[in-house]
Amino acid sequence: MTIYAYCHTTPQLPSAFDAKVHSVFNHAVNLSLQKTNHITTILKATDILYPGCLCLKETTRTFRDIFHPGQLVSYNSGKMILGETGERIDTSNAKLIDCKLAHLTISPSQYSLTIYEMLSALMQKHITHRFKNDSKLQIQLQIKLEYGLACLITAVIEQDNALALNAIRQLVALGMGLTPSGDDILVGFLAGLRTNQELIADHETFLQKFTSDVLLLLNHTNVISQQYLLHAVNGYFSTAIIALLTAISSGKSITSIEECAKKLLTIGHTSGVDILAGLFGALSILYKSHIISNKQFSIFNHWR
Amino acid sequence: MKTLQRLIPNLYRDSVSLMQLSEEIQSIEGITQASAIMASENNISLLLESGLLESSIEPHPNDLLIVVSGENSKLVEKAMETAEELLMERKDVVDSEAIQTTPLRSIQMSLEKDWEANLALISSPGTYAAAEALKAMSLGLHVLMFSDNVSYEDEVMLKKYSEKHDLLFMGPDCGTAIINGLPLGFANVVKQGNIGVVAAAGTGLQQVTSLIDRKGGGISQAIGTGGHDLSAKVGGITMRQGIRALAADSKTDVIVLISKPPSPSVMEIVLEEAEKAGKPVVINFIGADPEVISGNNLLGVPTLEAAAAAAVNLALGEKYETPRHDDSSDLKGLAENLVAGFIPGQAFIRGLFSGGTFCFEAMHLLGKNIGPVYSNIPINPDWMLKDVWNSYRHTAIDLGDDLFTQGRPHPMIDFRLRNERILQEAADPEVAVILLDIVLGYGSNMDPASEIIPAINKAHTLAKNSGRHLVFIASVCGTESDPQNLHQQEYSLREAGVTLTESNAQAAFLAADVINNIKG
Amino acid sequence: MINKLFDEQLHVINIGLGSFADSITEAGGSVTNVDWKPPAEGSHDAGIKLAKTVNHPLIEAANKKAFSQFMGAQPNLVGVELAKNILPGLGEHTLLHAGPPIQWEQMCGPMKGAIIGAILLEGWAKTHREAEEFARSGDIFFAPCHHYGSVGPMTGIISPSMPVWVVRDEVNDHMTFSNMNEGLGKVLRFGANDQGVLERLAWMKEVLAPAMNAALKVLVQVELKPLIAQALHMGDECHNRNVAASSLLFKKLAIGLVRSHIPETQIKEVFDFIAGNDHFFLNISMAACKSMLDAAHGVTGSSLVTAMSRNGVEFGIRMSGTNGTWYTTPAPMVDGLFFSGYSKNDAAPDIGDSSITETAGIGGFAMAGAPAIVQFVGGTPKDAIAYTREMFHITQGINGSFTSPSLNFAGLPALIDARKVVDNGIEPVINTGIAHKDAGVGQVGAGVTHAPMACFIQAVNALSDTLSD
Repeated sequence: MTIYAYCHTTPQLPSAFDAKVHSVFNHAVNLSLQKTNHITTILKATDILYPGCLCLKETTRTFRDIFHPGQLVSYNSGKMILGETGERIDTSNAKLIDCKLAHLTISPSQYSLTIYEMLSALMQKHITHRFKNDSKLQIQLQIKLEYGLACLITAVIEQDNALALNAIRQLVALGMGLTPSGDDILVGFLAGLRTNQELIADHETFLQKFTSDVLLLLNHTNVISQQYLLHAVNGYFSTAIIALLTAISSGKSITSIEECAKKLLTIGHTSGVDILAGLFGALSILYKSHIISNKQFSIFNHWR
Repeated sequence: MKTLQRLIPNLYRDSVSLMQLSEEIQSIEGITQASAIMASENNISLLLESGLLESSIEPHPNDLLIVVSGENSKLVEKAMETAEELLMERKDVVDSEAIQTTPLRSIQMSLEKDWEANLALISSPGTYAAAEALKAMSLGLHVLMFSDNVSYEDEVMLKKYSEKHDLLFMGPDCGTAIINGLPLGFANVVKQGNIGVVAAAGTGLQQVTSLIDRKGGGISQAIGTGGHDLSAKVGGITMRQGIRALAADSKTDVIVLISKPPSPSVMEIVLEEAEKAGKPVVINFIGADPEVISGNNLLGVPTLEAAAAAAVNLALGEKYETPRHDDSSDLKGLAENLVAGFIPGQAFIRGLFSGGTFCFEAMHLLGKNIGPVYSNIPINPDWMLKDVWNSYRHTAIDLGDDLFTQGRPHPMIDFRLRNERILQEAADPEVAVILLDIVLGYGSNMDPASEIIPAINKAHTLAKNSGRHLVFIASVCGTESDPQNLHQQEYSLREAGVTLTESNAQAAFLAADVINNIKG
Repeated sequence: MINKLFDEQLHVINIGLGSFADSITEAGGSVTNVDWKPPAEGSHDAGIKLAKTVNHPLIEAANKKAFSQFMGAQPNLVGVELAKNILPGLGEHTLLHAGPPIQWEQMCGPMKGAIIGAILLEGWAKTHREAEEFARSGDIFFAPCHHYGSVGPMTGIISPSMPVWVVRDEVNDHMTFSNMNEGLGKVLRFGANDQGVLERLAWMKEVLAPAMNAALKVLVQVELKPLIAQALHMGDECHNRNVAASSLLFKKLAIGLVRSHIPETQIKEVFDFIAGNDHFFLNISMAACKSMLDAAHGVTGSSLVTAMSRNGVEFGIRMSGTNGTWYTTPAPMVDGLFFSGYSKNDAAPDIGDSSITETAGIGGFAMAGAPAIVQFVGGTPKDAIAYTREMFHITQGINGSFTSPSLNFAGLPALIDARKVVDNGIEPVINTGIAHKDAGVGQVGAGVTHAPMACFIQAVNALSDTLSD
């Protein structure tokens, strides 16, 4: 049986590889490439796409019916063959969708107070129902995540690589789920940094060390999350992140921006909120002259 | 206090499953704490600082760490076993081959296979449906009941049970719902968003949710209450539950209520509940005067379409202004054009509906503009058709009524009866306008346009041969994401000469305008 | 809980039209389809009553309690006594029979035959005709064996002077009893009552019983659960196939017997008798099962079945939570293989207390491990396994003490939940022998039957009625 791939995203898959199925979920399958041990994901085509993925529009079966962990997969010239079942996935006509975050500019004047307040209110609404029981574990987690992000912001403003390394160390692999909250915050943060051209120009040395530190600490987290972090460092993000940043930088209406933010929030269980928190944190550096008091710092007021 | 930890290599589970697992293990008597988290260095520190781990362990970022603490080692060991069982594929005494061959004969047996089940969809014959629903709810499942012919006693018993246990019981006679974005029963695929709907009318729910989607909004939840919920005997239990749930739902910013006008006592308690919602509530009691509805956060609207428009506006934080029909000059212009070609004697509308609510709404709107509309479900008892198989003057028929569906599939699926009726009306020299509803979505026919167009073409020919002109007006209820191809359906219908409007209400307005233009 | 639903992924269970399930799958949702048929034989009221009991906290707790009490019982064979000396409250002219209560007029041929034999054995009449008149007179009190803590296979007649096995549950200090197995062919339990039958019964009372008693005094006791467990691993199911269990018992009794005071000549007779009877253990198996089930009986609110029994006319069950009430319906015919010369037309309806073994989770429930039995089923060993597996869906739990090699040594399904029988439409399976409908002919075949649904519906209705709303 041949399944025709609906689309794939950048960075593109190598033209030929052998892989093993790493993990299977209802709507996603992770493949572990044998030569590099990189993870690539096959997704059910939805409205949000991720970097380096292949998307199928299989409607009648779940991925659990098609794949199983340990299954061998080989890919060559647009055709993927699944071991044991011999099913094929044909990617030769798949649409290519770009997940590279273009060099956008968001200036302080574009990132208006209205947008800031809207995003803040949105996060507040969505985060309060995330922690159902105020267990000690959850409270500790919140504090660490908040502190880590605050350190990241300070480190960037003061161009302090040592502080940045500390912050990254604190956040990597912290939290529950396949992409732990700390990793998601880093991904969002990396996206936000890219839009501040002034910062990129002024902070070249700092940013170089910053990104290499993220790469150094990759193996502290699980292989699936590592992949998203790696893509983020190289400038590839989910279409939801790209849409939101594009909306802000091209001066769309507050309603449209809110729509984009809401879409981002739908990712995973808490991933969307965490990514937005990281993004929000990075964008707030645009107001670095205003970030003095703790009040503005408490991006996570709503977490309490 | 005893703590046990276990490291499971290369186990990947999403955070929802892990949180549910922790909650489930924690709820075991004698267990104080339980958590399941990837064994990264940072998570290990987190566990140490939270007092869940006594001493540090070597980090394994790709392995899952389970930690359980409880009163004594026996309890903790048992709990850990349960946790592992829940994480892995269920290890059964029987091998999986056997499970597949034994058919699942009851809800309880199905729960053995899918222990995450949370909703029972019941469409067994009415005599048995109530018992199945009670079983489902006893097992903690919410219920969507399509079955009708359930006694009032059973319905009240079930709704009282659902209320007591904070479960959703949608029914009886409820064919439509959208929960967590999943269309259930006869439902459309709509964008997810921040508008919640509670409806006692199936096709009403379909119209409102589809229009919200087409106007750029999205649905958080669409809850059906079943056709009798707002009767005096039942007292609106499910509608009120729905309002409360949506009020407490952080993803819902606007609530929409749809129903035929309830009895005054029930209306009062429903409005009372709505006023406590803490967010705007748009209310369409189809056919009732919206002025009846007053309250701080309540907005009464005259049509299903207005409900959708109001909801979308409010959801974006904008103000809503009820459109006045006279403002829509495009419809007026359209009506004038359509009149050309009628010969004297052609004066009546025949509405042939597959959705009961569409029929109901149309009759109310037509009644205001062109006078009595006869029907098998008339809004005035004087306007009951003597013979439902033969129309009289202005007539609107609900083809989904029991009378027509005995031994036949529902008209949303099977078009034969409606097609025959189209030809019958076309042959009647007094007929000017034929009014239709085309309903898309799951559960409906996969290609309604292809089913109905041949009859429409034949009707046109029939009329033409007698020198008459026929106007077909219809609205297509559906979205771009529905399994049928919306654009192709609309295109085909237009090609066949059907005048399409955005909504059922507009179709009725247009039909009335056409008739009035004939007189005028 | 409604708001909790909004945060969960939807997993639907579909009951009714399959098209709804298809739509959900197409829309990307998760759905499980129920192969639904109206439960409770299509009665609306019985359906509602059943629904009220499903997952009811009182019943769930009671069932857990009853099950653990069942698992905790330890039945031991301790001795042999005369019925009148040990059965509590046994009156002078009382005759016990298998199955739920029944009067003389309704009894089937084999049972009447056996009663006549018992009357003659007791000396209450001198001729067959006199015995019959006496039986009809109303001067005999007929009662189910179960009412006096005992069980008997086939017609199951126990009279006051008959010797009975004594089984004692040491955990609950509770005793159960059964008569001794006469062997095959023309025997009382199939309704035969001629001189040969009476003489054999006399010998059993004079020689066999004291010998067994003496052997058991030497052994002190024989633990029955481990013995049954071992026999189940050797191809027995301890209802229709007892040869392994009988052999294991024989091994133990022999040791006790040769060390007792019983004279050698009698030992020889006893050995010949037991060795020639492959079903010797059956009655003891039944008493052991009753012992375990009695431990689970009488738990208020429990829907677990603690007895299944037939008297040749009616099939009856008892439920833990409704005490002594019998729920009865006409006994079904048994479908199976007939010995040469016999056919369906010769068969008597299902009869005997021996379905107490299935009630305890062995017998037909253990068919997976008894490949030889399968021949009567007319199927393959795979079919036998399937029978056992089906029972998992109507039982409270798994009995870890009784495991089956065919199920990878998993425990057998134990303790029938009447609610699940009705809800799933699955009747408990029973392996049984088929008696000739005429008194005294004997066994004419063996096969598989099912406990009839009507009994379970009645039981569930009764339990449901005790629940407060």
